[in-house]
Amino acid sequence: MIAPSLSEAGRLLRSGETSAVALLEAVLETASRTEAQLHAFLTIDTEGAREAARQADAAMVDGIDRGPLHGIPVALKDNMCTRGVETTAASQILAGYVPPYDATVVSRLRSGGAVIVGKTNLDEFAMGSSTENSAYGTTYNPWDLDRVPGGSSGGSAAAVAVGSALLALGSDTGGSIRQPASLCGVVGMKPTYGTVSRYGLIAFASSLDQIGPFTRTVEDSALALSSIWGHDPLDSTSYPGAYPDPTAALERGVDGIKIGVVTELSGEGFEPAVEAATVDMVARLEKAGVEVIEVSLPTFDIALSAYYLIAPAEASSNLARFDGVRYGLRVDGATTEELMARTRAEGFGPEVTRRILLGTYSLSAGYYDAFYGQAQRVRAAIQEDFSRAYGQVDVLVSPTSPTVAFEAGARTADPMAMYLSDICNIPSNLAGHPAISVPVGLDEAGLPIGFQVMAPALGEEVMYQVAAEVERLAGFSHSPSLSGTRS
Amino acid sequence: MTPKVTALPLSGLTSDMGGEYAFWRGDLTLSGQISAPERVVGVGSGARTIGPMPIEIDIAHVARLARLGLDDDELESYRAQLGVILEHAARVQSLEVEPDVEAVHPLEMSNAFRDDEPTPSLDRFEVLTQAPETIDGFFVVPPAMETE
Repeated sequence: MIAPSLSEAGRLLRSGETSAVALLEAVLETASRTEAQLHAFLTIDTEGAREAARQADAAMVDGIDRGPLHGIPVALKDNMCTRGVETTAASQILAGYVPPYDATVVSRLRSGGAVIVGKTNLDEFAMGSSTENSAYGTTYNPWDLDRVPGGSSGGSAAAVAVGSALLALGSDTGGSIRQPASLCGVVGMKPTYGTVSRYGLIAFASSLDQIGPFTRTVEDSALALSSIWGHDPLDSTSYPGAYPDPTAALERGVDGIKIGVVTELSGEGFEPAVEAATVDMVARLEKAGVEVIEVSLPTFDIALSAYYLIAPAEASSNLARFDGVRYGLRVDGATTEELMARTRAEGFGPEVTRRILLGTYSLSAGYYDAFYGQAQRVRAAIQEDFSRAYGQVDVLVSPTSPTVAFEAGARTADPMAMYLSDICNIPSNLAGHPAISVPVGLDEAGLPIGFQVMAPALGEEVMYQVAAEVERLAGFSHSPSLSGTRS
Repeated sequence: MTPKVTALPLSGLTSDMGGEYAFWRGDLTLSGQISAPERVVGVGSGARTIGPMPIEIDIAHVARLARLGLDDDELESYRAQLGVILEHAARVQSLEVEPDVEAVHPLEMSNAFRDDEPTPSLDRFEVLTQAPETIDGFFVVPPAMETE
């Protein structure tokens, strides 16, 4: 059975045709059938989920309707703190850590009646593009088990793709929601920076991190976003102003909308099937009434360079807290410094170690201005490039990823090749803008291709308006085959 | 396929970078145009042009700053990897940008203040249950300073 969409499940719940307990049991059954092959989850909280489902059903019987997530089985990337449930960020350094508090998004899910199924796998501390950097084993792509699901939120993407959750949350620092969504054939969305609270999200790069939803449909994505976002006094970067309605324009169509096709996000390095699917979708949008304009954003060519200075710099600072003193792993030493150095060397995997070193270097005396300082100036130039583009068009479009899912192990030995996976996604993080990936087709090998729609800050309404039309035009109704030599 | 690397010579970053560039590793290739790279850093009359930044990595020093106890083989391996990544990252130096402009919150927010009202915080003893070693509500660590 293909899991119903979140909105369809909500309709069935309210008509009495199903219950939260039945939805949960279906999802748990799917997980038990697929987990041995996929490894999407690090923790499945069966008992906690069953209790939450019973409560959701009881509330519904009492006439209490908590909104679109009421009774919906949800999975959480394991870098969001869940009170009483182990939270590891897929790192050995946090093995056994049981948070004494819920992240704000988790509190919002609970008060919205959601049923939290478990915690999904990720690249350690969300650093990676394939989920191969997890200290607890990789996640595989449900469309081809020899391939990666993308990352870093690969577990969340794979879980929604097979229906072991109807909604999953991920975090996107440099494409970590959109790229795995693209590689797994689901909808993945990164909201405007500051609109979804980061309180309780284990920090990677605080000026870039943003939590967002994985869903099967664009409507589900908009419903999920409206349930999790909003001002939070516990996050000092949280936006206190008025928020748009993500669902307002889903049915409006695209007549009169102007879209910009980003010239820098095409050409060499982009697979022909990916390019063809993008060109095809742009042509269909034009037929549906949009005005298409070619737009050049020259700074996109150096966005990746700026990102690999800014994100590791922030990570080197954020990850200083993992020191063997406050929580998680401790490796003893004769002095505090030795204890810390041993704990961190043993607790962090190679990619995290590499980024901490990179960030420490680019912030260190003598290099700060030429590397980190200059990267921040480039970041401002990227924001200006976007502003110029949005003077001409309502949204920008591109492929989500230059390639379809790649084979497990293909890029693990080459950090730069891995980093290039996120070339289309990083500019939106650097600018703090929203962007969404919608599946639009399959390549010859049956692997999904995603189409990215980017919008200016707080432009979620028009972003979802265009994304909904992309979804209608693509008519993507394929399901993953769970095939491959590992099946 | 054997990964093929063509990276920009660092000595050319500020003088030779106008025009076409290409960079590729493995099966991905990116190419494009970067404008001529006069680089001015500083503010107002104090603006200055700085030369190409040589990438010299004292990896043992960096690891010490980061409190990462790595052995010599690991250090050498990371030094080589950082060299490749930083060569790519150094491309930020090719862009002519306003010296005193930095990125801002996309919603143009600055400081956030809450009312100065006490509110409950996490329970100290519950929080400390996650620490590797505690005593009487405190963290326990080995000596932090050398003694005589």
